Amino acid sequence: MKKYLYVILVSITGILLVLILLFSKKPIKQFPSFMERTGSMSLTGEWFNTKKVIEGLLAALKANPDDNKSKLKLAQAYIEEARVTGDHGYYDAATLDLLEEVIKAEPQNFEALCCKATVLLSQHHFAEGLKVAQEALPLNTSSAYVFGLMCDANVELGKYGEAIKMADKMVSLRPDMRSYSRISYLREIHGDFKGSIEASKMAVSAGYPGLEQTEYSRIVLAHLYESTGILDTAEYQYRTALIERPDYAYAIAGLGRIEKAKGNYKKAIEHYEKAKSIIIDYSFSDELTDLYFLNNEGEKAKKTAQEVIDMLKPGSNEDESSSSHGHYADKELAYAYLKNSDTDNALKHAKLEYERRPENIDVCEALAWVNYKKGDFKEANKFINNALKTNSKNPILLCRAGMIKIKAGEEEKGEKMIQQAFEINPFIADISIKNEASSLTKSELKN
Amino acid sequence: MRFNKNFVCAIVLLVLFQFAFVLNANAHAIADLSKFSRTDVGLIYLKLGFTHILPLGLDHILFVLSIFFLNNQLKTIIWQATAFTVAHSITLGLAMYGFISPPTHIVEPIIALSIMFIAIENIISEQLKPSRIIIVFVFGLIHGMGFANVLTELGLPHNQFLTSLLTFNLGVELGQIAVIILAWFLIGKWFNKKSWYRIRIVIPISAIIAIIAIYWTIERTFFAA
Repeated sequence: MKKYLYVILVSITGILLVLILLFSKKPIKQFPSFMERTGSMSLTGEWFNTKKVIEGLLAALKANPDDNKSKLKLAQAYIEEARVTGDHGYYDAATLDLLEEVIKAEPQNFEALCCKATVLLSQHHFAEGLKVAQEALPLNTSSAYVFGLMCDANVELGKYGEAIKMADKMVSLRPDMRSYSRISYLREIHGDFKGSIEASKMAVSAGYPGLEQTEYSRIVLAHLYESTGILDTAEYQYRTALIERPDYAYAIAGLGRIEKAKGNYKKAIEHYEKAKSIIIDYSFSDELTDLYFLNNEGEKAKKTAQEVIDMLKPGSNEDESSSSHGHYADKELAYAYLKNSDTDNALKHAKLEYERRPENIDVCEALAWVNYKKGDFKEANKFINNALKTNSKNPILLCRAGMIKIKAGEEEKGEKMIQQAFEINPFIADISIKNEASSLTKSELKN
Repeated sequence: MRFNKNFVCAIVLLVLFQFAFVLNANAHAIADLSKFSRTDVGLIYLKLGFTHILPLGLDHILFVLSIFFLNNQLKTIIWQATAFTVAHSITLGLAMYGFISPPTHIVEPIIALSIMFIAIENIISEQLKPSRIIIVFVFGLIHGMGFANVLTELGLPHNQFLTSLLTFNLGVELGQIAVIILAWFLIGKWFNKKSWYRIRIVIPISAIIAIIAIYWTIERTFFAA
């Protein structure tokens, strides 16, 4: 009897196994969909077209989940959407998922590798981004795009010589908005504001007016004017960007900074609050923190300062070194903690970023500044020397460097630097740095 | 005391096996845990492996319980658990290193089917057959593919691939051991020598497990999303 039952059990199991093999269907693959834009961004013709394209790609993928061309195009559309909306949290992850699938199926897909490197760089995973770009390079050595990626990664890793080489190769292959923008930035960090503005103008001229990339280049140009104290031209550029691309958040924020530099804090707050309502970017809240303080709105300032930390901090307390949307944001967190007078956490995050890219001048500047705020002037001086190695004439950097030098006992050098900063830009928008630097120098500078 | 020794042996066997198997393989990673230390990564994946059994892996829990209920001797349970462990370590390793790529839509219903088989076998068979260990081993191979699917979704860090794979597997083992110990202390220790143990405990529980497993088999085969 028992043996008979056992045979039945084995038979039933066998039948079920056959049924499983015959009828179990591969689950329908769900591809990440788009997020509806909100506010004024949802009313543009560009969004209407973008949405149509994305819907078409999703439909194509539903019909054929192995269609790698559509996957790649969808990934590219999401990269662009992340730029436009600032929603990197959603789109970066969705893009990487799509790209991983394409690369798994086609490991030699040049475009997919370049897109992956782009997302990794946007997430501040620079070493990883460089590695992927290097993998892509042998597949197409005549593409300017991959040299652009390698240029960006090298800049962020502090390998400036290598970055210049990459930018030169890029511009020789394709002199366009992207390559001119890289040249402009490299000139800027090497102290050549004039040359930087020149290249930035070329970048703007090479782009199609109204497109996000073009208008972002215009914002960069305007910011260069701002950094050199030419506020009226900067304002003109911001306003032009707003004509070409209405409600462009970075242009609105630019106008806010101009108002801040002029001392019109209320107007500046209005601009930043508007920009913040359009796209997700921690820097708007960061600027608002300063502005609320300057406008004697202490409570609001404290709230916004905490908001910045929450935006940059991860969801999990176990991993405080990457932001909730997969970005390494330790440099930004270091500055945010400084605003909250939490120097211990500021130092922790500045060091984390320094471990990742000790040669980058911005990272060295952040670590130097945190050490200065902690009163460790010797250590601050060590790092600020590294931050000055490219001969950058950024007025904020010069102010910070000047203050550090003065406290470290190099008064003459320090005062000279602060003087130089004020000569380059008498309208430094970071009022607290400006006031702090002025108070440390001799009376002639105070006026 | 004997109980503990056996479990320690099982774990050591598993770890040695994994090391021997995976040392020369290459792999790629999905998650970025590069900034974590080896210890942190190990602990994260150990926890993931454990929680994949307790409390998240109801199907694996039922399989382990089914193994548990047909025996009243811990030695036999350990042998079966070890066979299961070695088997799922093989397929987990093979899948994670890309040698096999088991389709989830086939593996998951077969896992349910394996639970059904063992549970019904508990009902129709009063004594453990020598073939049971082979059956458990074969089903262990299938369960390993299920673990691999989970681990693929979770992702393994580039630079800590071996550590994360081993600690995930160790976590799974600890989860299984926890299930057996819990079942032993809650039921086996007190009742397995009773004359009514089989009628009042083994058969009803196995029947419930079998019904659940049949439901899963049908659901996963015909109604999977």
